[in-house]
Amino acid sequence: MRSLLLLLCFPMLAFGAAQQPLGPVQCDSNSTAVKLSEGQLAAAKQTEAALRNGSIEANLVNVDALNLLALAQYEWYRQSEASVTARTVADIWKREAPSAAIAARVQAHARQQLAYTSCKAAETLFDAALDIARKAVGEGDMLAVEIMSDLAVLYRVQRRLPERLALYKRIATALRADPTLGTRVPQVYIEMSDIAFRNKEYGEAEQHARMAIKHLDNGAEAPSLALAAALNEAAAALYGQGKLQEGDKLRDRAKNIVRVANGLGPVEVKVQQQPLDTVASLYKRGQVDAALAKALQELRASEAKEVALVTALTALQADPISQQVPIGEVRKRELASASRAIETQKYRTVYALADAADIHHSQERLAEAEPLYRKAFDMVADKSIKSPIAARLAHGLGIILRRKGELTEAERFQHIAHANAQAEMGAEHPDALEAQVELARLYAAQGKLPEATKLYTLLATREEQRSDADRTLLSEHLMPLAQLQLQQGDLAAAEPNFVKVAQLWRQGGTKNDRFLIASLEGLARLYAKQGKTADAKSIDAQLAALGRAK
Amino acid sequence: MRKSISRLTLALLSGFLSIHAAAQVPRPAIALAAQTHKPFVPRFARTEQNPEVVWIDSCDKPVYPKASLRNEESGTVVLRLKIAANGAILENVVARSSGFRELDKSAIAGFATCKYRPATINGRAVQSNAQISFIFRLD
Repeated sequence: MRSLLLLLCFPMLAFGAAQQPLGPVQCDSNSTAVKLSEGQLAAAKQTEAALRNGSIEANLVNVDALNLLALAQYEWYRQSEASVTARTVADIWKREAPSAAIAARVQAHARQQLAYTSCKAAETLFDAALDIARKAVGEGDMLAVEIMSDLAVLYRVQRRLPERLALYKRIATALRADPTLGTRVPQVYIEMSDIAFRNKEYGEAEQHARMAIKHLDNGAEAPSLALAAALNEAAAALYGQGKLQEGDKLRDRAKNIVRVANGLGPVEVKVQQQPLDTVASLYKRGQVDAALAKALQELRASEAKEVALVTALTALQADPISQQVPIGEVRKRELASASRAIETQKYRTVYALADAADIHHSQERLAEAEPLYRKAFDMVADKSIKSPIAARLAHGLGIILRRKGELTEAERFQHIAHANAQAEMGAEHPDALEAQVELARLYAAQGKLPEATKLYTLLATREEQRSDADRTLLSEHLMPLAQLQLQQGDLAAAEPNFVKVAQLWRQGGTKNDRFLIASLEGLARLYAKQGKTADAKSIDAQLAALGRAK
Repeated sequence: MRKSISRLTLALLSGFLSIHAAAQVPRPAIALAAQTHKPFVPRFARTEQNPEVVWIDSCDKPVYPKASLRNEESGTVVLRLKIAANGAILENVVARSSGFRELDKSAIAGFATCKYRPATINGRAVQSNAQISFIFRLD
């Protein structure tokens, strides 16, 4: 038995995840195709011999036998002959007067070929079936839509996106003309959703998936797996649009359907399995001292192992075999492997140092944190710039330096943090954004007001454009931006930013919220500068009311 | 009243614009008053969720290439994927080859079609890296 196994290892450096078997492989793979029985193979051999000696003809009487022969030829690894035989079958059917019944029979032949993964033969027959159906009943008929849907599945398996897209447009036209077709073949919408998704049209993909859900979700006690597929398609489309929570709800429902179908019962509660004694889990539980002790223990262990590995490499290098010129291939590989092991161990040490530094930092023990950051950073500084750990270390160190008043040096480290995080994780990643916030603070603190303004504008714009924009984060960018604009006398730019923050916190914010007060205060100063006495007084009144409420 | 609120506001605002009396700075920094700062939170303390395949059946399955079957090629392909914050695959590379080009190509062609739920940090979708091992085995 030939098998394909999948092992998903998330995150990137996680090893040892459980293996799970993958479903059957499709198109053009004899390894997982349905096999013909001995009887069928014998019958196919007889048909082949009879054709050769002229005792039978390739006509309607023998069309089923010929289709079986095409399958057998495919199984005998004679794919070219299988394609020719399938073409003969298609031609036989095409010679008949077109009718829905014939189209349905050709479709059945094509499906049989697809089930046996004989894709070329299946395509020839689906094309013929569609041609006959169009002539007999028109492309708007359900039979034609079904055949197009089958063909779309085949194109999907063959990864032929342009052909799928063209077919999708034809199916969509038929469905628009007669929406009742969708009710009868809801799976078509799942296929259309997938095509739209591949074309990065996530909104459209969601609409199609929701149509499929609408048709499939009939309140049955045991919903079909097709409904699970539709729910998952919709979830993927929602993720594509940044609507995580909505997507998760649909995906959870799909998971439950699959579990019930497999006799496992619905999942009521999600339990996140987390190791109890990691640095992160101890810290998250508030056991800060235990977390630090754990980090230091890991650090000592890693450093000891590093020393042992270096000693082993030195011994290997001193070995006479290693001194031979030219050096043997086996020894060369052993030396390279020993060097790689040291590098890997060094990174473990770096992570342990970073953990310990971060814990000290979080507890305001800056003097303890700084040397740990520096030691770790020195260990990775000469490595690739695309390193998330370098970004993490530079960011932590930069904050400490800012707090010590060493602003130029702090800025240098935050630039490194930003460049590393952006290169490896993208401009929108929190690590990159946090470094940018720090840089903006540093620019402002050093009097580089235009640079700070530009950066806060960028940060605020990015946050505003997010589908899941967070008003706290947005306010954290807009407030200093407005303050900077006010400081530089750009009152026209400052005003809408103060107003925006005030509006964010008037709607659903608490009356004594810091952002609301700060933004109103900013507006009052701005109006006073502009000589808008009445507006300034109105804001003063609002502030006074807030003060009383507080 | 205005004065007291003003002081409070400035104190609160200083969380955004951190100011240090800086002798090294030629131009005056923004005149914000007392400084408060947000506590530093280690990155390992964030709530992180790794990327996931939305539904394994939605992936186009890697095919065991016919030539590889004939030649009895087998092995493990390790793929490294960069997954965008919207779940799209930005990059896919063979991190460790099976030793056979056709098997590597087949694994990439299959898994490049999966749909992913993006990774999240504190509930927000982020770009991330993932690693998939795929085993081609002839039993």
